[in-house]
Amino acid sequence: MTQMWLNMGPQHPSTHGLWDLLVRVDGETIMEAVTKIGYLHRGVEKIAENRTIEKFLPLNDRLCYVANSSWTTLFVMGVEELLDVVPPERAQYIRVVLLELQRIASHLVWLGAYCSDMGLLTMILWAWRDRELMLDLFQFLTGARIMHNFPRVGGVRNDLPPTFKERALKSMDYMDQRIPEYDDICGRSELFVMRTKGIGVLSLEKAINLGCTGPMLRAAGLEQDVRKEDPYLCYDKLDFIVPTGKDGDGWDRYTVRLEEIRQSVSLVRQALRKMPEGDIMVPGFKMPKVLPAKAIYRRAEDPRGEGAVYIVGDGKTNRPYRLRIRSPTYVHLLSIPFYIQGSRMSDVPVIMGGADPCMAEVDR
Amino acid sequence: MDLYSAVHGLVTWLVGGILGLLEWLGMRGPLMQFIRWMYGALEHTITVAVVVILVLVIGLLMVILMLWIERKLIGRLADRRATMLGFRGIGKGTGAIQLFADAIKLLVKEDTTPKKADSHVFATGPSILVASSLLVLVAIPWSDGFAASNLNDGLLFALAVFAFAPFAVFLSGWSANNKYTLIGGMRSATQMISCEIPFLLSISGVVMLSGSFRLTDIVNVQRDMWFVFLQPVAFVVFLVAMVSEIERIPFDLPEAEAELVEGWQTEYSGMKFAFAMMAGYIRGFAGCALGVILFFGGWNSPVPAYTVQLPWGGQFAGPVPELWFLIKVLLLFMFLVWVRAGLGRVRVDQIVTIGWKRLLPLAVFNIALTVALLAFSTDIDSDPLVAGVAFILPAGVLGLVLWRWRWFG
Repeated sequence: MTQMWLNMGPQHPSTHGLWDLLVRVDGETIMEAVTKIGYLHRGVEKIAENRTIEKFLPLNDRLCYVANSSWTTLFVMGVEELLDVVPPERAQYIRVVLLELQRIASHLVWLGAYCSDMGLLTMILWAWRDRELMLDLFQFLTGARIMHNFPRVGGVRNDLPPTFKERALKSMDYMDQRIPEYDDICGRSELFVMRTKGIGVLSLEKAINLGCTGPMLRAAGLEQDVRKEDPYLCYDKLDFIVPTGKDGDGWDRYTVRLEEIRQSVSLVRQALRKMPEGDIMVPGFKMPKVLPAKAIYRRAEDPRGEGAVYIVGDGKTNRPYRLRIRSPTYVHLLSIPFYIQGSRMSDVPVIMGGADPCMAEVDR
Repeated sequence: MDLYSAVHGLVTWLVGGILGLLEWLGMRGPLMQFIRWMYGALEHTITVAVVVILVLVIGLLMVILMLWIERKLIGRLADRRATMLGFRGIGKGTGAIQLFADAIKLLVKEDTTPKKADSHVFATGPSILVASSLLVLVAIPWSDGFAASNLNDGLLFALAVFAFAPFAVFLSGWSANNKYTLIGGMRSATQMISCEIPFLLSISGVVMLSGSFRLTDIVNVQRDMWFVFLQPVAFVVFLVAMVSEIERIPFDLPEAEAELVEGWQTEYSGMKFAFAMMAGYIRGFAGCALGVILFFGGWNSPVPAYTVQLPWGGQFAGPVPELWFLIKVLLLFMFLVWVRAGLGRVRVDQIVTIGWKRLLPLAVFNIALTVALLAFSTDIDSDPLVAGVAFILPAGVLGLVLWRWRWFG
C-alpha cells in the first residue's frame, strides 16, 4: 500500500497541547515519526537573565500548567542552595504537602487524558472531578487554584490555614475510596488492558540511553526516584515506595502512575501528621543584593520525571547569569520516534499520552 | 386492525368528506368525475405515502428520544448532569429543548465542501446513509398491526438494508479527500467485513427456531419463551456484532475522535453532519429493535392481559403492544449507553480478531447446537444422521479453536 505522511497535531484532538507528531503510515501501521515542537516557546530561560529572583518566581508557575508548584519549588530550592539558606522544617513540610497534592492533581489529569485517548470518556470526567478537590485545597492554602506562586526563597508565603489539615485529610480519605474505582474502570477492564499491554514498549536500555526519567523510566523497570536517591526537603523522613513496572509499555505506565497517586496520598497524610510547629520563613532573611558567583544544579522529582535547574550567579547583580531548565517531558517527547515504529494508528494517542506531555514545560 | 387499514379508513373518510363538501357546494360535471376517478386511482398510493410518512416521523421522534436518553444517562454515569436547557416552567433542567436547539444550529450552520473534495459523492454519502437507515424502519413492525410493511422476508430485507451503511461511509470518507476521512472510511469497510458474517450467522439460529423470515411470525413464536433464553450464545454474538454494525463505542473505529479527529465525518458540517449523526441513531434504533424482535419477544408483554374500566365509559384492553416494544427497545439502548460509558475503543486489528476468531466460531457453534437440538426434538421430522453431521463439523471447528487457542488468539 502507498505510504503517506499524517499530521497528528498541532490542531488535533489527541495532542495534549500544541505539538506535532508527523507519522508516516502504511495503511494503519506507523513506519516512521518526526516530532515538531516549539509552538509554545516563550524564552523563559532568557527572561530569567533579565529578572531578579523575586520577579522571576511567578513565571515558574507558568512552566507547566498542570504541575505548577513543583517547578516553583524546584527553582526556589535551587536559589536556596545558591545562597546557602536552609528553610525551616515546617516550611519544608508545607512544601511537601503542596508538591504531593500537585502530583496527585497532575497524575489525575494524565489518567483522564490517557483514557479519553482510548475513547473512555467517563474516566476523564471522574478524574477531573476529583482533581477539583486538590484545586480546592490549593485555593484554601495559596489563594489560587492553578498559579499558586506560593514557595518563597527561605520558606513559604503563608502558614497552613487553621482547618487545612482536617480538610486535606478528609480529601485524602475520599481519594482512598476513589482510586479502587479508577482501577475498576481502567485496570480491570479487558478493553483497557487490550489497548495498553504491549503498546509503545520502551525497553530499559533504550529508556536509559534516551535519558528518560520519572514514570517512563520506572515503568521500564528501574527504581529511580530523585526523592529517594537525592533526598530534598523532608522526603528522607517520610516513608514511601517507588513503584516500578516490568515491560515499559502503556500498561506499566498506568500502573506506575496509579501507584504513585496512592503513595502521594500516603505522603500527604504523613507530612500533615509529622509537621512540626515553628517558623515558615528563615527569620530575618532578606534576598541579598548580589548573587554569589557560583553555579548550582538542583534536581527534583517532578510528576513527569526528573526536573532540574542550573543557576549561575555572576557575583555582581541579583539576576542569574544563566538559568537552564531541564524538562523531563522534553526528553520523553523527543524519544517517541525511537519506539513508535510498528504501532498502529490507534496506538499513537496512547503512546503520546503515555509520555504525559506538558507543552509549556517542553517549549519553555 | 392494522396501520394500513386504519390510515386507509382515515384517508377515505377525509377525502370522501371533502368530495361531498365540493358536491354540496355545487361542483358537478366532468371535472368532479375526473377528480373521483383520480382519487380511485391514487387511493392506495396516498395511503401508502401517509403510512410511510407516519413511520418516518416516528423514526425521527425516536432519534430525538434516544439522543436525549443517551445524553442524560451518559452524563449521570460520568457524574455530571448533561444537557439542562429547558423551558422555565415545564421541563426545566431536563434538556428538553437542547436537541431542537442543536437541530436549528446545524440547519443554520454553513455547509462547507472542501475545495479538493469530489463534491457530488461528498454530498451523496450522507444521503445514502440516511436513506438506507430510514429504509430499515419500514421493515420493522411495532406490533401485529402497527407496521409499515409486513414482508414475507422482512428480516432479510432489514438486514440487507442495514448492511448498506458502511458503503456510504466509505464513499464519504474517500470523497472528502482528507487523510483522516480516508482512513475512517477504510476502517468502516474493515469492520463491516469482520462483523457482518457473525451478525448474520447469529440470526440464523433464531430463524431456524421460528421457521420464518417474517418478523411478526418470529415475535409470535416467542409468546411463551423469549429466544434470548433459548439462544444465549446467539444473543451475545448478535449484541457484539450489532454494536459493531451501528458503530458505537467500543466499536466506533470509523469515527475514532482520538486519532482520526472525527473519522469519516471530519469534513462534514451543517446539515450533512446532522444527517450522519441522525443516521447513527436511526441505525441504533433499528439495531435495538431487531434485537428486541429477535431475542426479547418483541411486543409480547410480560404482563398478562387486563382490562381497565375507563371513567367515561368503555373499556381499555391492555397491555399495549407498541408501548412494550418501545420500553424494551429503550432498555436495550440504555444497556448500550452503559457499555459506552464503561468501555474504551478497540483497535482496528482487534476488531478483525474479535469478528473472525471469536464471534464467527461462536456463531457457527450456535448454529450446530440449534440444528442438533431441532433434529433430536420430536416435533421436527428430520434425519438425525444429517443433523448429527451438521452438528459435529462446526463443533469440531469450535473444539479446534478452544484446543489451539493461540493459533487464533
